[in-house]
Order: sequence, then structure tokens, then C-alpha cells
Amino acid sequence: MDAFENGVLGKDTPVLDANLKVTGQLKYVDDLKLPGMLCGKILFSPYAHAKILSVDASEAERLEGVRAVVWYKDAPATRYNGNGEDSDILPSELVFDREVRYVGDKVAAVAAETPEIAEKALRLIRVTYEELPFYLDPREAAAPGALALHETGNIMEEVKLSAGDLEKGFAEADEIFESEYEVPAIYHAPMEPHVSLSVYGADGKLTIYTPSQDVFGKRKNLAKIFSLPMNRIRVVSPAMGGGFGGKIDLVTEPVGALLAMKTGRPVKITYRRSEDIQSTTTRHAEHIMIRTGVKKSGEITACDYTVYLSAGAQSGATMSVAWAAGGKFFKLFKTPNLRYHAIPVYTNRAVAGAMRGFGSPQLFYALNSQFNTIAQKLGMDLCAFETLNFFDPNDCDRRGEPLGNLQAKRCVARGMELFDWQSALREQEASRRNPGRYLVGVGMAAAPHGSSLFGVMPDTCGVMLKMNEDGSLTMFTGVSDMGNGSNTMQTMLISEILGIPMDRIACVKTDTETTLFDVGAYASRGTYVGGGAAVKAAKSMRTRILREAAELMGLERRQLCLRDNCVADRHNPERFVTMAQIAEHAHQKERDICVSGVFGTKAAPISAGAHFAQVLVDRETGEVTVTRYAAVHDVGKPLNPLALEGQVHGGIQMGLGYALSEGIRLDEKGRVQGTRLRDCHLFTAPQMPRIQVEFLDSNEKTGPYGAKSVGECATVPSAAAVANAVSNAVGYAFRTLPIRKEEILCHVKPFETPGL
Amino acid sequence: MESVTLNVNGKDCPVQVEKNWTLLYVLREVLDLTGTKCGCSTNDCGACRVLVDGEAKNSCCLLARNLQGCRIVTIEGIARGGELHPIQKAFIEAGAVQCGFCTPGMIISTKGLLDQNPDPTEEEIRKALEHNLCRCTGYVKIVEAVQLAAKRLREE
Ligand code: FES
Ligand code: FES
Repeated sequence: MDAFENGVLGKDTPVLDANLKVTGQLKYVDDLKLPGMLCGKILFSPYAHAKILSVDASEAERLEGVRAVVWYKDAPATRYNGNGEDSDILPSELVFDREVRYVGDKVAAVAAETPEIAEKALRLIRVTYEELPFYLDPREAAAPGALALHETGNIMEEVKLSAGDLEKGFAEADEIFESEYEVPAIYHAPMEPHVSLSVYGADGKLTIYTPSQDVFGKRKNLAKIFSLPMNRIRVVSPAMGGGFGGKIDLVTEPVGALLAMKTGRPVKITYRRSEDIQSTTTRHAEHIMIRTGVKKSGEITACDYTVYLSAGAQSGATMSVAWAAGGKFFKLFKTPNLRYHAIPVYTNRAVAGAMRGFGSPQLFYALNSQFNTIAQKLGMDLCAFETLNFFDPNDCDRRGEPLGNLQAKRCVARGMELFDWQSALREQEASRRNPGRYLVGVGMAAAPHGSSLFGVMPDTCGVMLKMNEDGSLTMFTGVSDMGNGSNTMQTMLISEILGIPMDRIACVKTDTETTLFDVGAYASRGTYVGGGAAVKAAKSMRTRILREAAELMGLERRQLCLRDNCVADRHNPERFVTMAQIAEHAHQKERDICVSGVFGTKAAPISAGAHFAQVLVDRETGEVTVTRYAAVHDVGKPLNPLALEGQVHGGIQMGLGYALSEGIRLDEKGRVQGTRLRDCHLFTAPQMPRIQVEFLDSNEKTGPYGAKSVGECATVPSAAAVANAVSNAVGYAFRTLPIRKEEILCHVKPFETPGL
Repeated sequence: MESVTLNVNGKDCPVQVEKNWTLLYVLREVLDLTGTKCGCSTNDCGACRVLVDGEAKNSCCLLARNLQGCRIVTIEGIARGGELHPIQKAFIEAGAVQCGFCTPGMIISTKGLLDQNPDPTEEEIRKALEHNLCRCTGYVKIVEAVQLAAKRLREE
């Protein structure tokens, strides 16, 4: 591994565009206005499942200021899968269909001069529906005789993965545990709602500005839907106010494109928050069944895991989530006999898709919860029980996939010290012996996560670097930065390698017209793959710079080094040329200095994290307060500690909500209950505990300067740690998320004020 | 339409407003001050916060026509001349900025707090940010940024 010679890596570095963000100058898509721009609004289905018998838009069309009304008759006939990665898998969706499959499904849309007119027009569209049976529970939708939501049937494709011999494993067990878990759909809740601005010109070219984690995937899908060659579609993501997986799939874009094509005017669709909550993708609601065999020693001999995934109304990322979580099932515990069985089922609710963790928060919540129960039954400490069953670094999993430098054991060990696990356990014990109004509980959970899509699909990223006339650089990158600092990290790597200061490297990003292909912000691949591409491009750039410098200085390349924005003689640092002189030299010789690097993964090394939580449960109200929290992660070499910590903090906020307060509730008709942001119950500043975060000193030899992923791993074990803490406080194993206070009150003895 | 004059970032801005236009709408759509964000328009997120006569308020829930003569400060009015305000600098340095969508509102709440209470406790800071949602940071570095800004402002 190269040392951090130029002192850029390993330093706390704020996001590149922080100045624009703190001044309010950064233009997010909703801040953009174009001359002649129309407002687009969508009419949503009031029914969970219905056939559209007729649409009468004549009154709406006559309304002054309405420029277009579109519905199924205008929609292209191509079915698509709105998820770029899965675009070829079970394409089920139409821009507008004759059948609506959830409350909030798109029925029609309007483009008008003002939002008020657009809304008025929506109210004038007459739609007649024939209601159909609907299913909110995947097990009902999967039952024989259920009405199919799509031609291919309700069960998408079952995923079965296994290793070893399950029967034998259970036969070897001293005890077998079986339990079921229920987890809700979760709203991503980025602070910026979905929005897109579509432009269609007389040149037949479609341009869409959209906050997107996957501009290339969206272009691929739009090209399919509208039968356009890719050179006539430009998807740009100028800024993103949070993504978390929710800004991967197409949402408003195809509708905006259709309206722009119909009117020849730019059309902006901005979702209201209530629309965003109701009609965008969610984390999968799941029903999970686990059967685990263990020996008295704590060794897990077999684990059989079955999950029903509620896919929602369209295919989306569900198959990938089912596969990915299956992969993760094998990545942490070395149990030889394993089976994973996923049954993804269409249901009449909003499309479930990618969300931070991609199926793993569900998986590791359920596993860690059951293991908490098992450890207690065996009289073992949970940390000891889990680590006994973890893989070691550089093991291969039971299906032969290499894990890389997996440091899960060290994460738990260090976390126990940082959190002072032993004294936390003593506090819990004291509270059990002598319970007051507040019960104390502590919990732990560990989880792995990958660092790319390797093994799932070809995972590549390209970065281009251009030297300007004064020796400064412009980086062109397709890597989407959700605010997590991926572009900052790429710039740091380039700066480190070339000795060119960060403020002399500009960033052009996520524009399908100018940047090279990138798979998109999936799979925690930003650092490993996006960083890998930055390193490759920077190394080519170094070669180019050295070639010019050697010629200019009359020295051999190997005598030269790059630092402080110059190329200098290694042995005589007084002798140097500046980057500006190098650029000038190249131009004089009729050469430019422009390179690209494409990185394709050959591994998906596993990161890991162990989370520790302490909670207080109020026996009078059922209220839970998370009082203390610690997280230790293995991310390989930490390149930007500031950003890494920020990722973990944010991941924990999501995990806490998952455990205790969030979760989309539907009423019996499939309508989302509570479509205001306050109804989502995101954790607020006063509710958050103090958090300690630490990163191991570690190294992943295949990663850029030793680094691997963090983003998703930050949230995967979090809900499980909190849920375990609550279960341990109350002395009852809760099996449904979120753990609501009403449920807690059913399981605690009422508190009696002493002395009464 | 009614005429109303808002004092925005120290400048009088006469505007014509409809009865139901919110301050947020006027700032973003009429005055082109898009730094103030709309995260919900239902008083739930704090992305639209501005100072109204020194107090941080959600602009999505204020009717513009009721604000005749009020002094309104938006995120665009926080920097001191060409230089970033110490609160802005602290947000950057502390790593309190990720996607940035909550940032203008957070900075406004911070300014409102520190103008009244230059030495807040951590609890007071968290309380002051209670109505500002952030989905990226877990608020950890935001709280640190407020502490850093408070310290620097006290030392000025
Ligand atoms: S936009 Fe005003 S509180 Fe959310
Ligand atoms: S930084 Fe993204 S919402 Fe706060």
C-alpha cells in the first residue's frame, strides 16, 4: 500500500460543496427554473387495487392554463422495472397503466401554467374504477387462488441458497430455537422530496434534472420506455438532498418526460411531502421465520431462514434485495449448515426498493434478536456467543466466497471496551433485581456489509481527469454524492496521488452527457469502486504529468516526485517545475493532458460493525429512551474520519427510528395512515443519545489505499442493538418492529410507587 | 393581490401577494431566495426556517401578508459581507453538513438560539434544534457545530 505521502488522506475533510450549502447557494432541482416552465402534478389512485374503466379529462383539458393531461392512452406500451440495476428483471410497470395496484399509484397527470391550475385540473379528471381484491400481506398474496397483480403471478422468483446439510446440523444441536419476526416498510425520508425537471427539445432530445443516485440507470430505463437512443437522453443530478436508496428508482421522471414531450415545454414535478410518503419506494416490510440449532457450548450447528418480502406493486429492486440479503446471510456466521429461502411477493402497497442496507437491516435484526434469546437461554454473554460463531479475517464463506479482511470479532471486542459492556451488564442486572420506574437494558448487535456489487453484476466506474491551462484539474465523475462525501473522497485520493491541492480540483458530476459510466450509488460502493476509479485515473494522470515534466526538465521519470502542486527532482527539491508549466509545455507540443481510469471490482470485501445500546424503559408510560450508544466499525483504512463518523451517526439515527418509532402503517383499505412528516416519527435532536464511534485500524488490500465501505453497514446492526436492549430491559423478547410503547406496557409489570 | 413590504436581509422588498401565499412561497418564488428550503410545508421539518424579528420560525406556516414591516433574515442574509458567518464556518469544520438540505434551517435555528443565549448547554442546543429534522447526520456533528460556533462567537 502507498503511504499517505501528501498528507491529504486520513484527515478530516468537509464535503466539497459545503460553502454552497451553508450559504443556501447550492441549487437543488426544486430551486431551478427554466423559461416557459410548467408545473406537473399527478393524480393518484384512491384504491389499493382497481381496474380503470374510463378516464374523462375533457373538463380538465378545457381549464385555462392547462397544457396537457396524460393517462394510459398516452403512455408508451413498454413495461419497465424502475430500478436501473434490475431493469431487465420482471419489467412490470407502465408510465400509466389501466390497472392501479396501490393507494397512491399513478393514474393520470397534468401540466399547467401554475401549481394551482394543475391541482384544480386534477380535481376535474373523472375516473371510473372497478375495485379488485387486494393484498397487504405477502403471505395472503402468495396464497393459492389469490388474484394476480401481474401476469407473471404474485410470487416473483423464490431465492434458495444453502450450504452444508441442514438435517445433520439440526441433529447435532442440543437445542433448537424457532421464532418469527415482523418488520414494517420504512420511508426513506430524505429532507428533499422527489422532484424532476424534464425538457424535451425540437432536436428530439430529452434532458432530465433529477436528484439521482443512478443517472445512468435512469437513462437506460428512459431510453427503453421512450425508444430513444441514449445520446438523445441526458440525465443530470446537480445536487441531492439525501437519498438512502430512495433516489435510485424512477419515480416522477417518466411522467415528467411524457408531459414535456406532449407540451414541448419544460415540466417540473415536485412531490409534496404527503405524496412522497405515499408514492415513492420504501424499505421492504417482511415476515421472517428462523430456526436455529445450537450446542450447549454456543456453537451454532444449523440455521434455517425463511423470509416473505412484501415487494409492493411493482418489481423494482425486490429481486436484488432478496438476493443481496441472501448473500449477507452467509457472510458473518461460520455455521456450516445454512439455508436461506426468500419469497418475494407482489402486494398492493407502494413499491419496495433499495434502502440503506438493502435487506440486511431486516436480516440482522431478526438474527441478532434470536441470538439474544439463545445466548440468554444458554447462559452466555451475547457478545461471546456471537463472536464464537463469527468468521475470521480472510476466511471464505460456506459457499466459497472470500470475505476479505473481515474484522467482525475485533469490532465486538473493541466495542465492549468502548461501551464498558461489563458495567452496562451490571447496571442491567441491578435493575432486574431491584426494578424502579425505569428499567435499564443493554443490547448489542453486529453485522457485515459488502463493498460493491461484485458477484451480482459487473461493477465498474469511470473517472476522467483533465488538466487546465494553469495546471489545475477538473474531475468528471458519475459517482452520485448524496451528501455522504463520495466526491470529496474521490478528490482527496486524486489530490493525494498528484500532490495537487484539493481546491485546485473541480468536480463535474453525475451527468450522463459528460461523465463516464458508473453503476450508481448502490451497495456501499462509493469508496471502494468510485475511489478505485479515482485512483486509477490519478495514476494515469501521474504518468502523463511525469512524461511532460521529464521532457521539460531533462530528467528521468523515476527521478521525479509530485508534491505541492509541482514536479520536483527527488534528490534536489530546489529543482522543480509547476503544474502550470507542465500544462503549458504540453500545449506547446500539441498535446493535451486528459486521462481516464475505469475500475472494475474483482471482490466485494466485507466491512463490519458492532453496535451497543443502553436504554431506559419507563414502566409507567412504556416510553423508551436510548441513553448511551457506541459503534465500532471496520472500514479498512479510514480515508476521511469526519465523513465516516457522519455516516455512522446518520445510520444510527435511522436504526433507532426503525427499532422504536418509524414504520409505515396502512389502514384496512391500504391507505397510508399519517402522511405528514411528523407522522413518520424520525428521531429528533433531543431524542438522540450521545454516540461514541470508533474505527479499527485496519486495511483492505484490494481497496483504494486500504479502504472499504461504511454507508450501509452504519445502519444494519443499529435497530437490532436497540431492540435487544429493550427486550433485555423488559425481560420479554419483542419480535415486531417498531417496538411501540403500547406493546411494552403489555409486558412490563406496572410500576407501583414505593411506599403506597 | 395585496401589497406588503417585507424587510428581507436588511432590504425593503415591496411585493404583491395573494391572501394564501406563505412567506416561504414569496421568498422562493417571488424573491428568488431559494436558500430557504421546502421539506414539508406542514410545519414539520424546519428546512424553511427564517428569522422573523430575531426569532426562528417556519416560513411555510406564515402568511406573507401578515408580515408587513417584519425584519426577515434568510440563509442568504447570514454571511457577513463577503465572509462566512462563524456559525457557517463551524458547520463546515465540524462536518455538520452532509446533503445540506436541512443546513439553512439548522443555521437559522442556531443563529436564533445564539443571539439570545450565547452560552447554551448541550441540552438547550438540542432543544433549540428540536423542530429541525436531519436525516443524514444523527445531529451529532450539528450539535458540535453549534457548540463550536458559540465558543467562537463568545471569543469575538
Ligand atoms: S417546510 Fe416548513 S417546516 Fe417543513
Ligand atoms: S444534512 Fe442531509 S438532512 Fe441534514
